[in-house]
Amino acid sequence: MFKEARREVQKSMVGYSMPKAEAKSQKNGQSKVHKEELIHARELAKKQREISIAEFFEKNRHLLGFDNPRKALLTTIKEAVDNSLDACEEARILPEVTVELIQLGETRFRIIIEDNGPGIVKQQIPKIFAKLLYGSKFHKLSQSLTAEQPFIIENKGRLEVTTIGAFVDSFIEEGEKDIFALNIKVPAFDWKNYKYSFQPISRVIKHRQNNEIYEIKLQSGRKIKVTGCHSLFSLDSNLKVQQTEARELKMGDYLIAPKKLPEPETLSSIELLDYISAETAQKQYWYVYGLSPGYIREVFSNAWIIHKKTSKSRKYHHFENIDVLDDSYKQYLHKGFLPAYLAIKLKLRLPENSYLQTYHHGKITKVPLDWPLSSSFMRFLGLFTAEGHADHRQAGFTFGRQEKDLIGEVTNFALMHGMDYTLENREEKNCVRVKVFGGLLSHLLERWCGKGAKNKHIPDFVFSSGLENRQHFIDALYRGDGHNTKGRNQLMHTTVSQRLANELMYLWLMQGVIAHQSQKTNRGLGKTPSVTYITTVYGKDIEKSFCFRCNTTSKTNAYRFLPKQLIPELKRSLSPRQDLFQAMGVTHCKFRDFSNLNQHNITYLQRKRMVEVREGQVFCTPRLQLLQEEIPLFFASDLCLLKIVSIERLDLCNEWVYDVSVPGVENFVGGWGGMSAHNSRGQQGIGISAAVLYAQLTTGKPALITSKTDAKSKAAQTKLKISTSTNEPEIIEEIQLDWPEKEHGTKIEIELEGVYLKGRQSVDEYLKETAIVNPHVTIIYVNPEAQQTIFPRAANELPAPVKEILPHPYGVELGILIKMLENTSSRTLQSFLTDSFSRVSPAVAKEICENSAVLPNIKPDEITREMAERLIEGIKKTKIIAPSTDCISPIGEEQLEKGLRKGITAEFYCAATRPAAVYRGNPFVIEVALAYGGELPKDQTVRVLRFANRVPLLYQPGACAISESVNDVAWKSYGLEQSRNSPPVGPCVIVVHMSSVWVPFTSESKEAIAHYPEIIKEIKLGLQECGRLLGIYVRKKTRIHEQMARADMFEKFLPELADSLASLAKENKEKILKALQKMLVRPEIKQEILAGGEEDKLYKMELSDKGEEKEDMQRELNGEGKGR
Amino acid sequence: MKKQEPGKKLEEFGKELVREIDKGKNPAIEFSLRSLSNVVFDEKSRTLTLGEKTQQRLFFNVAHAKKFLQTVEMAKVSKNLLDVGKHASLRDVFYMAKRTIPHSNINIVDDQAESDKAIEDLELITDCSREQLNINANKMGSVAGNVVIEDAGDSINWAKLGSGGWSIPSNVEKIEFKSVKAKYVIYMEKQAVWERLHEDKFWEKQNCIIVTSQGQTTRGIRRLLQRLTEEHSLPIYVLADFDPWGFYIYSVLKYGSINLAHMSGTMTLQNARFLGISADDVANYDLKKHFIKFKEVDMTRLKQIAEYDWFKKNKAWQRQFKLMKDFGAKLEIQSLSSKGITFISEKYLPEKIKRGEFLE
Repeated sequence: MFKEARREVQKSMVGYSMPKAEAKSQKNGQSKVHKEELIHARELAKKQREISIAEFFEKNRHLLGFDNPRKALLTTIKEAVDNSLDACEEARILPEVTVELIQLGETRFRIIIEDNGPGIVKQQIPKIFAKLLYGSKFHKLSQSLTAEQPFIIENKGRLEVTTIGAFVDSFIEEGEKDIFALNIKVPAFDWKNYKYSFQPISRVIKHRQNNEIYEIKLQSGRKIKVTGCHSLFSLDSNLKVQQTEARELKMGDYLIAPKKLPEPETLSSIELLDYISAETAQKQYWYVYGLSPGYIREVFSNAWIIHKKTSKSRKYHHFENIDVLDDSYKQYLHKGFLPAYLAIKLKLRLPENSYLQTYHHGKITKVPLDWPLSSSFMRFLGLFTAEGHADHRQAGFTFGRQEKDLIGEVTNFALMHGMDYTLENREEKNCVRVKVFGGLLSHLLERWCGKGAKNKHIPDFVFSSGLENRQHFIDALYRGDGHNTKGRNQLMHTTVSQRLANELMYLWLMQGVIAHQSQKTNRGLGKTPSVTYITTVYGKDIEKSFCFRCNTTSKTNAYRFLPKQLIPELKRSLSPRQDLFQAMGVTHCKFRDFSNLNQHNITYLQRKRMVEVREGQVFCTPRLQLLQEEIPLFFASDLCLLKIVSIERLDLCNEWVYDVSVPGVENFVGGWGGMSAHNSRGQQGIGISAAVLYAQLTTGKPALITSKTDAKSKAAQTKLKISTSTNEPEIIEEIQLDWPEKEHGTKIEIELEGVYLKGRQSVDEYLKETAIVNPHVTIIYVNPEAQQTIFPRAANELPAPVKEILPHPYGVELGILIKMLENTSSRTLQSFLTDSFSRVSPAVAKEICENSAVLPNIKPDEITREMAERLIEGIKKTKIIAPSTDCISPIGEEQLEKGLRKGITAEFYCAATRPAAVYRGNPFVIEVALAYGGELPKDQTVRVLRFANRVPLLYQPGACAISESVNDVAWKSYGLEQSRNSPPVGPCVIVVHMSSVWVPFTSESKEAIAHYPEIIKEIKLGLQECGRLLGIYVRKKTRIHEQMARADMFEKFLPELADSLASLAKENKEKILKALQKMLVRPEIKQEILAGGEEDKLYKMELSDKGEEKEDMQRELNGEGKGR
Repeated sequence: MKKQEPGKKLEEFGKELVREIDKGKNPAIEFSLRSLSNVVFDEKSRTLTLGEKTQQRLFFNVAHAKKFLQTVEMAKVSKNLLDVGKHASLRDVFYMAKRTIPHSNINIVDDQAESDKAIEDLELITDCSREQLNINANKMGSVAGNVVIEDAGDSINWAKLGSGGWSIPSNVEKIEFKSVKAKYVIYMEKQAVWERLHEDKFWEKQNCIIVTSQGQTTRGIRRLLQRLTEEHSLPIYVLADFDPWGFYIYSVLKYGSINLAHMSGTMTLQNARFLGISADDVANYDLKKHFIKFKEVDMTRLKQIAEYDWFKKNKAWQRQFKLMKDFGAKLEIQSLSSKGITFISEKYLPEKIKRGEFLE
């Protein structure tokens, strides 16, 4: 319910789990605690946890913003207001926030904050407000999975089942790393419809385990190993998804797992060369034909000509990783082909009609390079995965003699593709062996499906091959290695390959089927027992298949029910087919029409608190309404519930554990067979719970939360405390009440010790500044003196929701670029540049390559560090359009100006939104606004209001890049006073707002923006843009001022001139004066006076008598002497 | 304007302005433009004179108004002086004009430079020198020699005025030369040198007139020198430091200055000669050890002077400039004292004049 960008919770905090000895020694420093030492040891131990949470807060209060009573008051309001604004924006509601500060004692305040947000469901209230989070980001220990946990990712449109350990290890050795730029996605459910989609991973995390690890097994054979603090998901009694830490789970609980994974882009064909190893190809007679001499020439134009001396000097074409003899080149050119290994090594992008040519006993076989994924091919693969093995020159299948159709399937496929095959009867084993010849085929099958029964796996492209093709593959696999048990409605597959078993679970998941898996250990004659994995599909799921059918009447699968223990009102589990009322024994009943119910039904429903009877009328209770809405929602979602069958605590120590962050949705799919796992980002709203704790520690009073989610229901009011012993919410009182003045919204009342002061770091200032940068917000503020201030809404549009974009090349650092190059699937540098970055067209990519002196068709993995450095330089030299601002939400010039008008009274306003720029690959937008003149103090330093992502920065102005930029700009030319490198002086307020996906703060307390040159440059440009407008205004104002002064001056000159002239010419003074005064009002004279500027030239000339020619003239003026 | 009494001219100037005002015209004063761009070296008269350009000063003009007012004010002050037949110094005149315009913070004149400038403008407008307008500069400079003059009814013998000599007034127009026995005039830059020569009775021995100015050559001295050379055909020798500024003093005396180009006719000394110290003296009298090294300003000044029209074609002078440039150093007159306190009066000057070692 809170937005990411605003509430980047502190990354790391000084450890909560501080060693006890240290904690004690620190305590000893305080005399007050000396007495406590005398307390009995056992008592002390009992208090230990209580001490530690209070102590933890004490230790970290500066990071949380509770350093002193003044800041505590501000922080509390800040957290609450930020939350309100975020919640409103997320729900697309125009926010209206009321803040009331009531002074109860000298240092005691009651804070009441009320918003019109979407409201919080009653059950969520305690978690949000009364649990100080020390897990996840806030805690040193992240939530994590063990290395071998399966993990599914989508990279460049292809799904891949890997393990989280292998995935994270490819980026880091230890710690955390931001990989947002790589755009690798994982399936994650959203929190509205619970539908799965692919969401990008923002960071990967790897660290040593420091708490216990649990292995949790579910009823379908799914299992996951997580650290105790890692959260998994379950459903609460309101059918809302909630998270629960692994250590708190019990047997019999239900956990959430995906029912269906999202569909990636469907792959219709694969590039065979991607799967052939250059080493094997070099040993074989495999050639790529269908190439024009022009194409070959172009390929070789990238090579250097070198000469090598063996027996005689020979001419070679030198590529980065291979040299080709000139004679060979001539032959390629002549016949229009290239050896396959060359095409692989050079990562060539081959023309469309090219094909692979192989020889088998002199017979030519042509294979298209762009291999189509047909259903027959998928079935062939399925059969091979089940039954086949690959030799050097042939692929062998062993079938039972009765499996004629399977034999036919294989031979047909071979015939169609021009491959030779043989059938060998093996009498003794009662089986038939089918051999399909061809070195290329056997090589490919080995690469696709693995070698040996224990290493079999599913070809990676199968996952992306589309629903039907996947089913063909599964069917063939089950026909080969599985069996359809008669009369038992189950389809079983048996394998000894652990990898295959796991991948099969995921493959079924792609089909929207929850497969069940079990293990069987066979203690045969061998020394080591072998493990067999059995993957079973039951009931209706079998019907998904094209060839298998249920043997008996199909039943609904268990995971498609809602367990009755979740909804105690239900007698039995609920399936999606069953109508809610039917399930409760009530028939023929529509939504709110109870007229057809008999008294028996109504009494039953009344007892279950589903209906209320008032004055003879039957009404739905909110509970029934909720169920009516939530149950269909859950059934329509991609989630299902699976029962926990075992929880085992593993006493492993110092294992590496892993996690990834998925911003926004905070979950991913992992574990054996696929479970929904919470990720490391953790719950937000940490600040407000800290405020509740602070209040409780200083006054002992609980927090009072009132929230209403819609107009029809009642508001829930909860009195809360945080238990300092368990860090759990303690509900003191919970009531339902009418809150007629609000349709929806939340009200928080907190009583705390604080100090209220006015000034730059005050509550008043914070609210005012918030109103400036959030012109769409209405803030009503009542200060302790009971004075009400209203900052009315100045704009009726909400900030635009943000979109994701690829990273922009400007500002990408060398390390990130190298990593991206290593991980790309693009074949050439040019395509890498266009695919991995935003705003890079092929033309721009070429220009980058040109500017960096790197060939555009070089393969990304051949780019050396030195070349990458040149690329960075090349990018800097290339003009690239600024990144799209879709991914950030700037306020906008007009809106910002409106906001400023709302907050500051002045006579001149202007605002500028800079085009998006980039630092370290992160796009950001700088906005600047100015207010000038009016009541603003003329002789004071200009006030600079700093904002990051619409949040005012009130502390540490000296350390901030914004302040530095302001000092750096030459304000004198814009009409303000300024001494060198110091803040300008004048009647002016400067607003600088930085919005970015990631604002770089100087420290964890998020009070100042770090000094990146790109950011400072943008801020300065923005300031200058506004400065120029200000300069024009100030000059105009000065001119008018001067004109008036001049007119005034003439009026005063007149009597003087008249007087002098009268005396000189012996005339009447009054007469002259009158004549002069008459002239003064004449338009041409007036014009002359006011347009003083036109005479500038003459004026300057007169000035120059004292000016330019000063040296010479002055010396002479003084009497022709020496001017030494 | 015809040649008239200065008082009349001023009155006419005022009346003209009043007439313009009556007609409803923006009152304007027109006079020769007095800036570098309008100063030319007249080859014929070999003096600096003003060119043809004129400037207009309007009252109803933001940039001009105050100056206009100052000019008229100065005219009024001068007219009053003429009317009562009194003289006043530049400083007096400044105070006579200085006052604050009622209900404002504007002074008619803020400092003396402004009033001085207004007077110079007035000189151009009326074609009268400031002395004719009854405004005098401070007295500066002394003179001694075998000359008897009559000034304001008193007869003064320049040879009998003790150690101080006669101090030269600002206005020398009214002086009458009764008897001039001296054969030539030496003008020296430094008061100290004058005192040396006076103590040694140099003027008596050499039968000449010695003149100095306290620091800068005032108009009075220049006019006095001009009258001596014009009315009594005395040659004038200039004794100055060996440095660009010394050369410049000579240049101003002989050819006039930019600032007083309009007065060139009554100021310049066509037959002035530069006696010393010259570059040749450095070698002849072994003065190299007293060199003061050039600063950058000295060098630039030297270059400017060398470029003057009147020096450009003068080979003797160009040689001096070149030698000075090569030395990269300058020399003071007083350095001659290293040879003995009376060296300058007994040896240096008599020798130089006898040998006719001077530059023209």
